[in-house]
Formats: sequence, structure tokens, C-alpha cells
Amino acid sequence: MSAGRREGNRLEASGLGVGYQQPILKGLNLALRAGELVCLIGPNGAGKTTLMRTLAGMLKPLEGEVCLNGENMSRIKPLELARRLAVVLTERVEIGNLSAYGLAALGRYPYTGWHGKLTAKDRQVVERAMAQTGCLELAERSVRELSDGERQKVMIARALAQQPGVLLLDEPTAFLDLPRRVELMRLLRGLARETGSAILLTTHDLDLALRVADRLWLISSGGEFREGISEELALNGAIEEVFRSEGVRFDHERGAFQVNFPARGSVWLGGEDGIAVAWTWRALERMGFEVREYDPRAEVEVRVLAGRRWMARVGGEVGGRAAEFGSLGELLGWLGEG
Amino acid sequence: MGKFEKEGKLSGWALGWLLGGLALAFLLSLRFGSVEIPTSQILTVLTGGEPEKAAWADVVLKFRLPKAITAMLVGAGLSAAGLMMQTLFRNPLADPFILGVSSGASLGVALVMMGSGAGAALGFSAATGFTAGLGALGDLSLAAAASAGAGAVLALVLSLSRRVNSTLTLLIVGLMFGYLANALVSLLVYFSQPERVQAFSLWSAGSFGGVTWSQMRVFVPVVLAGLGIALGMAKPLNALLLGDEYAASMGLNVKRARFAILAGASLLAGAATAFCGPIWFVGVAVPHISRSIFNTADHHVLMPASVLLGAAFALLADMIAQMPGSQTTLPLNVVMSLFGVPVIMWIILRQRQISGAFAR
Repeated sequence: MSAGRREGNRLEASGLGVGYQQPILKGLNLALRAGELVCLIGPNGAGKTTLMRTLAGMLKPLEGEVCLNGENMSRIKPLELARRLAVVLTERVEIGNLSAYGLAALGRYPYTGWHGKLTAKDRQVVERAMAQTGCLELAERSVRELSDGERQKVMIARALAQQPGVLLLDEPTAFLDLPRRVELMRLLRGLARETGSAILLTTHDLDLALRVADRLWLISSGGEFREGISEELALNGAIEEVFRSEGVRFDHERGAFQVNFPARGSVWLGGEDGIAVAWTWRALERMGFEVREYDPRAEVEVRVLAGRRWMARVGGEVGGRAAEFGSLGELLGWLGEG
Repeated sequence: MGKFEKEGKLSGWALGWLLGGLALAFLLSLRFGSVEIPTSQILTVLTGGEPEKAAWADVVLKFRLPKAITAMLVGAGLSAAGLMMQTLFRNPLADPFILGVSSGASLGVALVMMGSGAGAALGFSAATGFTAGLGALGDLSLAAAASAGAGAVLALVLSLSRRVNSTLTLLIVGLMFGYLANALVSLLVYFSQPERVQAFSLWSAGSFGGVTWSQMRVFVPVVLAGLGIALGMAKPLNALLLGDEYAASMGLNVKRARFAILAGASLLAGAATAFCGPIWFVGVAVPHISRSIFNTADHHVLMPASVLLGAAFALLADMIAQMPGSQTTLPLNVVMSLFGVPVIMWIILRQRQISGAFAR
């Protein structure tokens, strides 16, 4: 897209303090580089959106400075800034009577003349942006008729039509279902790679962020900032630390959150059918059992038999009770009674 | 490429229809009135000839022509102002008077018409002195009083708009000004003699007929300036469709744009109210009609469409109010609502999109 500025797309901050009257975050030193997708994550209220707004120039920093390609942002004129940096905000935009194309074309605002007339080149840029985000076929549809996912794509196309070197998105996946989220993240990563823009987004979707982001920026509720490669932050426990709270735990091994339930004892789970075992594992964990792959001394033994049947035994081989089930539901019911 | 070439401007056809309709309405409004004058004679007068009856020249030139021009300008101006306010405040119910401009004008007129009487009745010596002073300016035309009132509110709102960051705060403060002015008007009405109250309510009913050629010298340039601002603000208004924050992120200086939009809208609303009384309904309804007809939110289309439709709408409403062939005239605001509401209900209910017209 903005190939001419490929090298220079970078957003940096030094000694940055953000907040409204009182700083929420202080002494931040950050760098967002060309061609990179960074996810900003942290618990609610940690200041993700505030930081994002400050980096976008929508909020003045309380201390320190934000630089775009080495130039202090507060000295860049609004129109010039809009050509270099675009944002997609959380708020859901509801506009009737506007076509998807019309919405995306608003992104040409900083380039058109006083009357806002689109030139052939402007139209070309808008169409390319819509094609890149996969919403060109929606062009003539009214924004009102679009699904959340489609609308988000058009909003991103609008941001791309600004031909920015830096793209900031606040919770772009918030209203989307899982397949749409994955699709959107793939799209954004592709954009960063292909166009060399620097992309920063906030998300609550840690799982997805870990898989897609080149780097993570982590903010803890105490205002502590950590950054690094996703896997590294998972490995050194930084993610676990940030999200630690009652009843929730970040599982290092699986890279996902786990909901802790009060333990009901341990289960020895075995079986040949890998998929059935995996889902049985989850079901048992949800019930509050501690599941192990091999543990002859566990209170409960569960086996997945051939033909998707289950066997459970409580209280050991001698004197215990055992039963066989045709479904997971029956198994859980039986275990629940015991 | 070229597929979306047509986006963003009023097509030649649409423009032709609108202009044609407006021209027709203009001619009809010159043709019909309480006195029957043949079309050929009207054309004779307009082209500077001598009509069969000398009085007809006066009727056309001193009465119908200025009235038609006034109606067009007010209709166009209020529609443009309404569209700007609806977009700026992202509220489909916003009208040109939402910030209290017409309340200010009403207060100005009420003070002149009823001030001295009410002051005396209240028995406040200070108030009596003040309002008696205003009452003494009886020769001061109503237009001047209304302009002063509208101008005062306008100045307050504009000076606030430079200090207040949130558009919503501005809206609330404007509404409060309106309530305050209305309360003062009610107070004046409460303590005034019935005949003065009636004169005031006559003014409140609205009329396009009161603007003389000499007043036109002020009225026309002010409205044209306002319309110029309105048409020139199409690009910022489009950006504001997404809300202040997005507009700013796309490079719009929101405060400056807001100031210009409010100045334009207030000029239009102020001039209309000052010379014709508070004209309701056009300003809120015509933008919706334009949206329905052209099915777009783009102000490059909506603004010219609203201006032309508003002018035609006001001409038609005035024609109905004159009840051609009879000596009776109906209050303009009554006609606007009685005939306008069913039309607009039909258009809007058919489309069911009024609620989705703005970003939330």
C-alpha cells in the first residue's frame, strides 16, 4: 500500500505517562515497528484503551512523548497525522443510508480537496483497501445491513484507505464470533507483512493473540508493563502473573486459560480414542476433577472404550462400584451422584 | 474501476427533477393567491410590462414575488440548517432551533410586544424601567428585536462551542438556554394584556409575507451566506457521520468544523425566525425526506437536495396557507404540520430507517 514509507513506519514512545488526570501508566518505553503485528493485552481497567488513545494522538500524554517516524506527534498537523496513522475504535458505528463503499471512502478524507471529491486515484485506493480486507463485494450494500464482522472489515478498509503506515485497533474482535475473529487476525497479520505497516491492537482474546502476534505488550492491573515475544512471555510466567485472579489460571502448557473449580478428587483417565479422551478430559476437569494420564491410586478410574463407550470405577478394584455408559452425559451424571 | 463513479454527487437527472419541481412551485405560488390574476398578466408584470389592471402589478411585485422568494430562502435555509444539526448532534430529531436560536428570537419579540405591560404588572421597579425602555422602542421592527434575540443566543452558543469539548454538553447547554428563554416568554405572556398576547401568537404562527424589498437587502445576503457555509461543509459533515472521534482521527479539526457548522446553521435559523417568525417542521422533516428519496447519508447529495426540496416544500406550504381564491389565510405553522406530517409519516414509515440514520 504506502510502499514509499515502508521503511519508516514506526511508532515510539519514551517516558510515556498516560491517563486522564492521574496517570494510569507511567514511564513507558515502547516501539512499534514496520511490518509487525503487536497485541496489547491486559485485564479490564488496566489502561489498554487509554494507552491506545494516547498513541493515536487522541489523548495528550501526561508525560513523555510519542514519536511517529521519529517526529514528535504533537507537532504533526491533524491532516498529515491522518495520512500516516489510522485508528479503528471499539464503538460500534451505526449509520443508515450509507453504503459500505461510502463508509470506506471516508478514509480518503485527509487526501481529498476542500469539497471532498474523490479522484480516480482515490477510488482505486478505496477499492484496493476493500479488496484487501475482503469486503469489496459488500461495496453497494448499506452499512445497516452488514453483520458485525462485515462492518468491522469495512471499518478497517476505511482505515486502510487512509494509507497509514501505522494502524491502531481497539478491540477489533470484540463483537465477532470465533471463526470471524480468527479470520480478522489472519487478515491483520497478512496486512502487516504485505504492506509493511505497523499494526497494534488491543484484545481480550489471549489465546488468539498468542498465536498470531509477533510480539505482545502486557499491562497488569497494577500498571506494570512487559513486552516480548508471545511464547517467551508465556514461558517466563509473565502472562500468568498479569492475569492471575481467583478461580482463573493461565495454563503454561496449553497456552490457554483454565477455570479452576474446587477439586473433587483425582481421576485416572485412559483410552485409545484420542479425541474422545481429550473431550472427556475437559468434561472431567469442568466437574472439578484433577485428571491424570496414569495414576493407579486415583479415586476414580475412567476409560474410554472402543465405539465411544465409557467405563468408570470408583473405590478400587475390590469393593468399588463400576458402570459402563453410552455417552459422556451419562458418565458425568453417574459421577455427579457418587 | 469506474464502478463507483456515481457515488458522492447528485445525478443530473435528480438535479433536473428538483430544479424543475422548484421552478414549478415558484410559478404556481406567483399564480395563485387571494386575487385571481391570469397567468399571461403575471408574465407581463414579471417582464416589466403594464398589466390590464394597475393593482395587479402591485400584487405581484410587492406581495407575491417577495413572499415567494422569502419562502424559498427560508425553506432552503431551515432544511440545510436542520440537516447540519442532525448530523452534528447525531440525532434524527434535531432541528435548526435545537440550540435555542428561535427561543432567543421569541424572547426578543416578546420583550418588544409585551415587555412594558408585563413589567408593570409584575411591579418590579427595575424590571419596569428596563422593559418600559424596550417597549418604548415600539418603532423598532419586530425583525430587529428577533434578530437581537437570536443573535444573543447565537453568540452565547458559539462562544461556548469553542470552550466545550463535548458536542453533547453543548446540546444540553443549548437546550437549557432554550428553556430559559421560553420561561421568560411565558412569564411575559402571563402578565400581558390579551391583545398583546394575540399579536405575539400571530407572530409565532409564522408568515413569509412580512419581508419588504428593503428588508430583503439584509435577509437575502444572510441566508445566502448561511447556505454557502452549509454547502461548503459537506465534507466535514460526512466525516462527522462517524462521530467526533473518528472525524478527528481522519484529520478533521472538530472544534473548528463545529464552529463553522453552528455559525452557518444559526445564521440561517436566526434570519428565518427574525423575518418570518419561528417556522417549525421544515427543518426537521426535509432532511429526512431527502435521505429517503436519495437513500444516502452523503452530504454532497443530501445538502443540495435538502436545499432544493426545502425551498419547494415551503412554497407549497405557503400556497396552501393562502387558500387560493379565498380571503382567509391559515397560520403557516399549522399548514406545515397538518399537510406535512402525513406525507412525512408515509415516507419514513415506508423506509423504516430513521433510527439507523446515525452512529450511536
